[in-house]
Amino acid sequence: MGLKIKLIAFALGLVFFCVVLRNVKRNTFRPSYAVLWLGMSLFLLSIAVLEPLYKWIATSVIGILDARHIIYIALISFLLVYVFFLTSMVTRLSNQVLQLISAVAVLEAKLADQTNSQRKPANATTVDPPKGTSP
Amino acid sequence: MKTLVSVIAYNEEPNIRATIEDLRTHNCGFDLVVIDNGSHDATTTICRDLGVRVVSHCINTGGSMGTVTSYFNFAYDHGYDCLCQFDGDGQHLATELPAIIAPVQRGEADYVIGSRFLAKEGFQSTALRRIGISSFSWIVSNIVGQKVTDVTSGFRAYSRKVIEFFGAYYRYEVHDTSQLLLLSYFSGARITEVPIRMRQRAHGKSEYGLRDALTFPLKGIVSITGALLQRQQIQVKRR
Repeated sequence: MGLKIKLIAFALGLVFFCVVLRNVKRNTFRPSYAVLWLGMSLFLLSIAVLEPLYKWIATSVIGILDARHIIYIALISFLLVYVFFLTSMVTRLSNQVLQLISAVAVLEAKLADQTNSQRKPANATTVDPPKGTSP
Repeated sequence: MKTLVSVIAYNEEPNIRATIEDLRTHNCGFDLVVIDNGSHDATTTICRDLGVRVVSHCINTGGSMGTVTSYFNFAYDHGYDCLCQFDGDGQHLATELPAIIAPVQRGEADYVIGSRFLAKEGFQSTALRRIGISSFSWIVSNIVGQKVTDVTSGFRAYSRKVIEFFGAYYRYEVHDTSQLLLLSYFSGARITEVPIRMRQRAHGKSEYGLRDALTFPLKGIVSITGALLQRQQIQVKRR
């Protein structure tokens, strides 16, 4: 890996790290996400600094001749796992939103019922909700 | 028996008045509530003007299945023994209600489906939809071990057992009618079908488009698989 590429990767990693820290400071990230993205930014920084280590892992441990491939595999795997995690999170949140919408709607109806029953003696012309006679 | 008819509505301004009037004319002893799924038109205003209780979603939560949670919650909270789902688009006939509710009131069933295909009278849906409905009905029939002909029918009645299951225990989104039926069945509900007639909607068009038609089979299969995977968990909880 050339010096120029190393410097660009390091600079990108550093900027990313600072952006994540800023989000942590502003409370726009939950701690678990912050840890994940801090780890990601450290990984980007390490690409420039620990190039020999990645080369060694790629060639000796895994048996891939080009160290770049191991980095691509790691990044793509990370993104896939993360998208999967986000999908499950979105599903959970949409379920919670549905439960909330439903709970609010039922409570509003209950409140309207109570308000109507309180108004009833004062206003004799109020239309009652249709009540059936139970068999 | 305390019975609730829950009318499902989404942008049904042209149909809702006639639907409610039909239900009032043929009221056989039930209470009425309209579950409005975030309509943008005057659906809720019309219902309130008619003096009907309205449970109104502030945001649309998807098709008719998005209202299931609300009507079960409402029925559970108000202690209803029997709940009936009735579409607000005018396709369902109030005169058919006694037939749907009767098996629950007699204690013979917990989940009653109003089937268009038993008597084969009235509006029978489009050919493409019929293929989808019969496919899923066949799959569900094989799982529950009894013949189900119209698994997607929106004209259904539930007993207190099913109301309690969805109102108090199962707090997840239900995406599909097959899933709803299977979850009810696994929770111990007895399923039955009664023949009904349906008519074509008088005004407007269905909220289901081409995208829904294409994704319906895949979503349906995933929902059925999900229900099958939850079977044991539900049965353990039931005990």
